[in-house]
Amino acid sequence: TKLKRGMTLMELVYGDTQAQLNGSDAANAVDDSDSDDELFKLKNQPPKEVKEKNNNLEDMNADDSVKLEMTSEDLEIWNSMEILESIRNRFVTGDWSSSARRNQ
Amino acid sequence: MPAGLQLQGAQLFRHRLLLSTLTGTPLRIIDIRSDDAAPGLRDYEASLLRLLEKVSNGCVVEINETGTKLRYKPGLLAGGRGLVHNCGTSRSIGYFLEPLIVLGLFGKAPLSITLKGITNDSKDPCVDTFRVTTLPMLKQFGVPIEDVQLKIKTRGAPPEGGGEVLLQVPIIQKDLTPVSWVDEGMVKRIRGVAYSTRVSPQMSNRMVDSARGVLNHFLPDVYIFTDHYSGQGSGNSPGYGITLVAETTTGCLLSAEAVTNPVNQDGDEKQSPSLPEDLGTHASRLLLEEIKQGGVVDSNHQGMLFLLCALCPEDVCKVRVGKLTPHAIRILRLIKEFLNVQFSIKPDPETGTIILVCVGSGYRNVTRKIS
Repeated sequence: TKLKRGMTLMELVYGDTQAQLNGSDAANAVDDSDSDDELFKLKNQPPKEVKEKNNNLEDMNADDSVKLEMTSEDLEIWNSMEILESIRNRFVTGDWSSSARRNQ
Repeated sequence: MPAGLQLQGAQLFRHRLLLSTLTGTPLRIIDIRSDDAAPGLRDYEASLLRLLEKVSNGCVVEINETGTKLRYKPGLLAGGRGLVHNCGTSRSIGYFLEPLIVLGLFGKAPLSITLKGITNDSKDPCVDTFRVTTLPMLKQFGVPIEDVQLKIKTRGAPPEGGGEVLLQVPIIQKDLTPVSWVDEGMVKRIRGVAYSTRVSPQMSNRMVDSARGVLNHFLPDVYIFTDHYSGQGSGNSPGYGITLVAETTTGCLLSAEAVTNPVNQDGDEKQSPSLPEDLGTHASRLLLEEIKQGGVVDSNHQGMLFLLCALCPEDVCKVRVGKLTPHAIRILRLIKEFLNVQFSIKPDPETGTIILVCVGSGYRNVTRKIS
């Protein structure tokens, strides 16, 4: 769920696409409009990866699972000491004053 | 009874039925996987409908021949003791626990049910996660936590399952307690469970060692229990996995888990690490991802958090989460549709988190009063 430029979170969640989701046949129809809205995918495409399918908010038949699939490649960044140190202050072993500032 | 709703597709099947039942709204779902090579309801969805019939009185389910259309008329939530449900092996027990816990809270009588099937798989949160993270979360909403219990009697790894858990959920006497839950705190300790069943108990130790290797970088206070099953209680398939939970200074619980692939797997399934060392590392890194997000719950619990907020009395609820998951966004939309609750969603640029505020729908446990 990437935010498009200038789109607020409210629009992402409750925006116009909502009508398409539950509307009668709008979401069902093959998208032949030439608006290059990437949220709409053509029907009858070759099966996509499950992950991609579930990230598509407008897929009526998206898998009903709360889990975000993450592969070990996605998590490779945690090999980096720099990335590890970036969350140091989220632990009690880190700097308490920075955490206090977070919640002001 | 409110006018019915018509919805499309198989998405959020559980939450649609859950909200339909809670609000007493008859539901019609059309186009269930109608373009799919195998159209219609899946085994686990049919199983969920049977489960709903068990915990409620007088609900009506009609399905067309191909299973692409469903009509559901909710009954009264009865709850009750000594119930048993076989969850099958197409989805794990976790799939059923998610809606069942919320349903249980609003029943006429406390719920006590034995669920049989797969206790741990990679598709749904496993029973350990429910025990250490999901159920304690209910405390924030005023649920008497000492009456909530999830007991793992036997383990059941995929594909054959054979596990068994006992779930006990108390009823809410009147309504939930609204939350203002925005202080995520700092992680003070990490706990976990590494389980193994029908394999060498050494597997658990190997997972624990590699998980500690990652997490001890941040904290000395990391303790992961090992839980080995053999003989009776070990289910029908071999398996192992690890669940981790980070506890913060403000009592927030963030969890992450990793489970090995079943031995015989379909070719198109995504492979995840299966060496115990890899699983330990994978789960720890997932946990670090959750900690980095900075929410009061982890990404798997966003949807349930929002749902509970929306079911609160007509008072303000405020929560902080990390990046919204696609599943959570769908739930927010569904909540608006069924409960007419719209959240105000604002990013907090300083911390990279998101603050959600809503006024609860004023939902009450109406079933209880009828008795």
